Amino acid sequence: MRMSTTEKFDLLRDQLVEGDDGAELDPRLADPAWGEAPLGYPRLGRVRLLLAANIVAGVWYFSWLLRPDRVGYPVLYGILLVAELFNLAQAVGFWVSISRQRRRPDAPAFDPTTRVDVFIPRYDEPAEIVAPVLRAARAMRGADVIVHLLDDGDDEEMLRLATSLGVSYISRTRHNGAKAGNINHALTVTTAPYVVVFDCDHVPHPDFLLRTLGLLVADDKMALVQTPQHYANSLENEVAAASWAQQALFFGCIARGKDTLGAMFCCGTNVVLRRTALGDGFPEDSLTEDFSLSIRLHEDGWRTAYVPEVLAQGLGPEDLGSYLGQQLRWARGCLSGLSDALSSRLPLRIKAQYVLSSMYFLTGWTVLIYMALPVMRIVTGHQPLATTNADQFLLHFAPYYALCLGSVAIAGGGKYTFRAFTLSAATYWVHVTATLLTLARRRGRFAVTPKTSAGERQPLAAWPTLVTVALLLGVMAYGLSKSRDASMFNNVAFAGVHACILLVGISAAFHRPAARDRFEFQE
Amino acid sequence: MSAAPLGATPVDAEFTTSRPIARDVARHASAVGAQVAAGAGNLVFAIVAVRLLPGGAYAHLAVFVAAYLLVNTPAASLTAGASMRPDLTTRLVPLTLRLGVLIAAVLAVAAPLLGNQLNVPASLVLLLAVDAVAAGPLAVLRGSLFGRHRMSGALLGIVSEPAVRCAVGLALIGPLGAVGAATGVVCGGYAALALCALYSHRAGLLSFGRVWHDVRHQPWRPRSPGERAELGQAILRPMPTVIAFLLFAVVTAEDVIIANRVLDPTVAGVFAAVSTLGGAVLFATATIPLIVLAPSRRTQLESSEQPLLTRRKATLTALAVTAGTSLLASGVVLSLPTSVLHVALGERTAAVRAVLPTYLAAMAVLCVARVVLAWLCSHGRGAAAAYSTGAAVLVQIVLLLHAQTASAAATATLVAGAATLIFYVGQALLVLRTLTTPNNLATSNNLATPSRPAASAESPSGSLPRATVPADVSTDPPETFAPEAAGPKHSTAERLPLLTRMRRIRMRRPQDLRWVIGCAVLGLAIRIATDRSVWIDEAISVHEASQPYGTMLQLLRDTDVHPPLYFTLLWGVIHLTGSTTEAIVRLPSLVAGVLLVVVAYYAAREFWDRRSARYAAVIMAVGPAAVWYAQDARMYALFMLFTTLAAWMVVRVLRHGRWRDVGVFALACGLMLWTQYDTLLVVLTLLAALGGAAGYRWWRDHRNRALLWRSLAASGAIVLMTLPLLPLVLHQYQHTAGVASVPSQAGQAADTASQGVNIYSALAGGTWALFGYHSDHVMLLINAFWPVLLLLVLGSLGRGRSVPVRVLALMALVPPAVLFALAQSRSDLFDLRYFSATVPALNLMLARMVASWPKGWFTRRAVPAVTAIALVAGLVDEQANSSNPRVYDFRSAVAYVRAHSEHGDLLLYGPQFLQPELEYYQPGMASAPIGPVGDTTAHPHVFLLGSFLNEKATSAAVGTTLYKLQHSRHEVAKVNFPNVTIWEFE
Repeated sequence: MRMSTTEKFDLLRDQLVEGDDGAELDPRLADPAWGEAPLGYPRLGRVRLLLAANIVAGVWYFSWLLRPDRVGYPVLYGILLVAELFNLAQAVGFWVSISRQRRRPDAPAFDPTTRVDVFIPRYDEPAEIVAPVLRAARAMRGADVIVHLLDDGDDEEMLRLATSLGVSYISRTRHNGAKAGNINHALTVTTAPYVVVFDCDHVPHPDFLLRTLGLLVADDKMALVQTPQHYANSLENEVAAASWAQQALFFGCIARGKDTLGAMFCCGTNVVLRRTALGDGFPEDSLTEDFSLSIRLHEDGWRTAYVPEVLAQGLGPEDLGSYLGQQLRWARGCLSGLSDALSSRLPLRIKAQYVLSSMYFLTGWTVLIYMALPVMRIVTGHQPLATTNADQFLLHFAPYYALCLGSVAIAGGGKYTFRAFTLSAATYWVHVTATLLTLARRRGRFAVTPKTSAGERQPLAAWPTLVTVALLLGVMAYGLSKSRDASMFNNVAFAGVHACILLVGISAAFHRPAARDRFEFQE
Repeated sequence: MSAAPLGATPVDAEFTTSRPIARDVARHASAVGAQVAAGAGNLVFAIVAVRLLPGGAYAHLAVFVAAYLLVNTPAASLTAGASMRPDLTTRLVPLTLRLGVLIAAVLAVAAPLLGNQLNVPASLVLLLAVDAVAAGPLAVLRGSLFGRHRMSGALLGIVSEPAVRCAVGLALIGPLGAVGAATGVVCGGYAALALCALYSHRAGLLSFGRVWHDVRHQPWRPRSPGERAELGQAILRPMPTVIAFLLFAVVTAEDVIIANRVLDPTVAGVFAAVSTLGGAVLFATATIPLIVLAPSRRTQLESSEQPLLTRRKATLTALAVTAGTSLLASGVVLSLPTSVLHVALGERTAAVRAVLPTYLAAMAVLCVARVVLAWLCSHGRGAAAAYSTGAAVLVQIVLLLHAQTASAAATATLVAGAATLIFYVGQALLVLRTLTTPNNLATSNNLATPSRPAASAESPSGSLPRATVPADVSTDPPETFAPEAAGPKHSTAERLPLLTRMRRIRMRRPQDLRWVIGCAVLGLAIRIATDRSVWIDEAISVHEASQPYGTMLQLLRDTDVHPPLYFTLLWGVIHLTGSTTEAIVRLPSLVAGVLLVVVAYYAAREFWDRRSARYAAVIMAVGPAAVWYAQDARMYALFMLFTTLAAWMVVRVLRHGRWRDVGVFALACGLMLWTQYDTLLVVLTLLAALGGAAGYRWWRDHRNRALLWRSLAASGAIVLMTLPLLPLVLHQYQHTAGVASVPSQAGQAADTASQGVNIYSALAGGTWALFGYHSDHVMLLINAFWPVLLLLVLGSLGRGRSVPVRVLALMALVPPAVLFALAQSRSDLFDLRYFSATVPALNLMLARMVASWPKGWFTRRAVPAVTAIALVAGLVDEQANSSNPRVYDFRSAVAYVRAHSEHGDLLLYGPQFLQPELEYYQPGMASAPIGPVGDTTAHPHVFLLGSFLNEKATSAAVGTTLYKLQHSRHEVAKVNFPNVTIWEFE
């Protein structure tokens, strides 16, 4: 019998919070949102209706755009076309993903003596972050759980913490392979047939195993069961909130769609794995070891599953610097995995999903292109579309644009926000940087995303965005000084809209994050 | 002699009766009697003066009287203050005497300049200076007598003034003219002062010796801090009351002064006569507020536990007496035979009689308002009343400055009076609600009982009781209302039927009322600050509504395509006021436009929150489209008002499912359909929203049929309400074949970037709805900013779902979308007038967006500021830019023709449907539509007036006539006005 959210939370808090003397409650415990609600669930009928309209609008727009007489300045037209076709491909992939949303039945029951090793890799996170995770992991029900703290930081305090909480402490002498190496080392010293991985800031729910492990036990070809990464601090921090809104779209309709297509991949945390499927363990030569592992597993014929319920509460990036670091790591990892995805021996439906997920991190280029076009028009007078009226462009583009956004809003259950969009757009240069670094085959370093904010304004963290905004504003001023006709106003408005989006996106860099008292670790 | 505490003040034994209401009636009756006697004296004085003085000289006298009132009115305001605080008499008399001397000196020095400015002889200003010395002490003494219930003394002062005025004034009017009459006026004031002072002295209320001593020796600024504080208290406490009455007096007196400046002398003379007659009504009830203001006499006699009951009954009695007296006096004035009036007014009789009803109505409204004002002041609301009155003064000034006829000036006073009364009643309701909250009852009972130690603080000396501060009134009541049943059933408030009803009015917090009033005043001021020529549709409306009612309906049936509700309202306004001035014929729209601000506030307050409501009210007040149609003598402002009300009710029904909301919704929809047929789209949209939600609920749970029944009931009610329209609709369709008698698309083509209906037309529709009408160039520039819409669409991501926003979005988008589709075959259908519901819907959504989207410190300030700047810029350009294609300046064009024409000239006009326009502005010469130009040689000059020249047929017809005239006559001039061109030939 399922417990209500309130009951679950009360139970968890009773187990985790003892003798609270007024210290601020950990957000992962203070106001958790368990289950499916944080992800939102769209009404499929509406989604499919919208998709049909999207297809019509897409055909309407591209049949207009692709006509030869639309070509203005050929180079710019070509660039615009590339950007539009890239976005169309992403959109089509999104539509395919969200057109079917699997709702898995409850995981089947399994033997409660099933042994499970719970890995909590840690690098430099403080004890107050790790302790609740260890406690909650110990409290998971339904299986014979052994919790291992995989300390790559060789911290004595962690040893004391693990000892005091009665969990296993594993460290290693060679710290190679970052997180993947840490887990691989742990795999060599543990024996349980199932492995759960939690990042050291993700507090699991007591029912985590009851909701997931049964899928692995019941299906011998099931390699892993993934659950969402929820940011518990999204209610108190704007960067975390925007990050979570981005995550919610992925772990909501997109992940459910991938699961329906059998293409869900490992996201590195909140995941249950079958030890035998891991084989040689996690790839250590990738920044996104989970992504590469998933491709390998699918190539080897393993299946993956996704349980769309928040079963672990983590901490999202709390400042722009942390967010940028996280995004750069993900972008570099996924882009480096693009070649693997393209060369993989996978069914098309699965391969396409991997390719689409990898290529998402190229969207920054399209943002750059869209920003560059009005700038080019203002400065040089060249524009991609010529021999056409602006009203014709508006007539064909507006429905496509509005319906695309509508599908994101509806399919995402209203969880995807303006701030999430602007944060993504304002950090377009991360994608550009990641692409260039990947093309240059520069080896990246695995960097742990900070779990708390730096507590200060970080305007310089977004300096490329600031430079872009300055450029846009300068070009706008130049344009207005040059001409004040309707055409110039239109391009100035475009540039202004971009500048506005960028400024809103990085506005968090100008705010000092609200000081949050450190929640206390009680030994 | 030092002032005695009120509790120890001896009071008259007169009017002592065991029945408070009878006592009040007797007191008011005696006051009214004295006032009527005084008024009769004034009337005699005025009539004789009118008769004896030539128009210009009488206008001088009228200006003097108005200025006299202006000087005496601050003093009369002091009467109000002194009536509230009679204990301050001894202190105030010397003070006002000194101030009077000072003012007199200033007036005397400035007499030549003022005389020139006011267009009167300097000697009249000097007389005014003489009067200024006596005005203050007289006012204080009168107030003191009323405050101490010395009615006989007070009334003696009232009656004596006109008696002396008549005796002296009429004696001197022959030899000295206006100056002689003014001398009589001044003498009357001094006589009244002498009598009041003597009465007070004999009654032991005033010592001449003490006053004289204080005038000579008392320092302007008391030496000791205690005395200074005491004096400060004495002056500052009644100050709001003084200022409120002062401003009120400005409302009553400024019209004749401004009219004398802006109207031509003959018309100014007519208005001065009207003002004099109307002033008699105001004068008849002048004393009643003072009685209301006076501290309850009963509380001076006994320690009553229920003075509130007594005072409110007294106030109601005062209101009843005032209203009755005003109506009676108005009736008497109106029923005066023409022959009698002719004796008094001579040739001006007809003109005066035409304007008199409007002005008397204004005076009656002001009489009642003054009593409410007194009640407000006695309850500590003097400051709020002063603000409201100040706003009314501004409104009146703006209207008067635009007045061109005596009727318009009278209307200005009527509008100002109505606004004043509405403001006061609003404040009074608020006070009543506060007072009748059970916790406040005990305190409110003490509001007018300064002698009660629990409610008044003694001064350090112990001899000067401070005015009671109604703490519970001045502080904001809690946000939520106590349940109606919260108070004991036997409480005082519950026993008063009126108050019980008042309590049931769901008034909001005072901040709500202040915002609503503030925004309504702002909206009103903006809507009357600018005006424009009546354009063709308006002229047709006026033409139809000027007919007898049956004829009007017949015209509607045979030649028009509109339902009769708006025309009936307009018919009522025109026939009630007897005027068709621009201000009058636009009055229904103006009222609807201002009400829209109020409805928008409360709708948004209920939809979302107070912040959104405030933005909604401000945006609706300054929204260019809302302003435009509130200045238009057509039905679109009503359209907006009813649609907003209907949308509000739909949301309420969806949220609460109350039957009364269903009823109001059905009523609003019915009224909409009786106002304009195009509202059918809005009605269907709202019914679809309601029905859709009902169907969805029923689909989810078959037992949930409540909303379904309500939707069906609303639909049925709307059908029943509109069934009677069906014969009219069919008849109109048969007679007009669905085509209006005039081009309804006038100016539309110029608003869009290209001809026909396209995507820019849709953009133009949105621009019109939010930013109003603009020239082609401006529209192009605004439309070029369409990428901002992309930002708005993005900004809506993740905003959640809201029933009000969905309803408003449907209301904003569905009707224009349908019309846009229909316009593909007939482009004139896509015009903002036909989807006016989009205006309030978009404005409300804009308010919500401005209030809720910005989150940071900077954006929460920047976004409202940018929005306000954009709206105000749109408003200014719409109103001031003569390139606005919706502006048709027939007024200036006809004025030009009138100014340059001579007897026997001919005016040709095209197109033909301009006839009502020329009928309205009356060029004062023969006119004919263009066509085959016959022999025009009999006419020295021929003027050709062309408009709607962007239409091919009209342009061709005018061009043909022009060609013929150019070949038969000499073209003298061609003058362009906005959308109207005049060619002059000789």
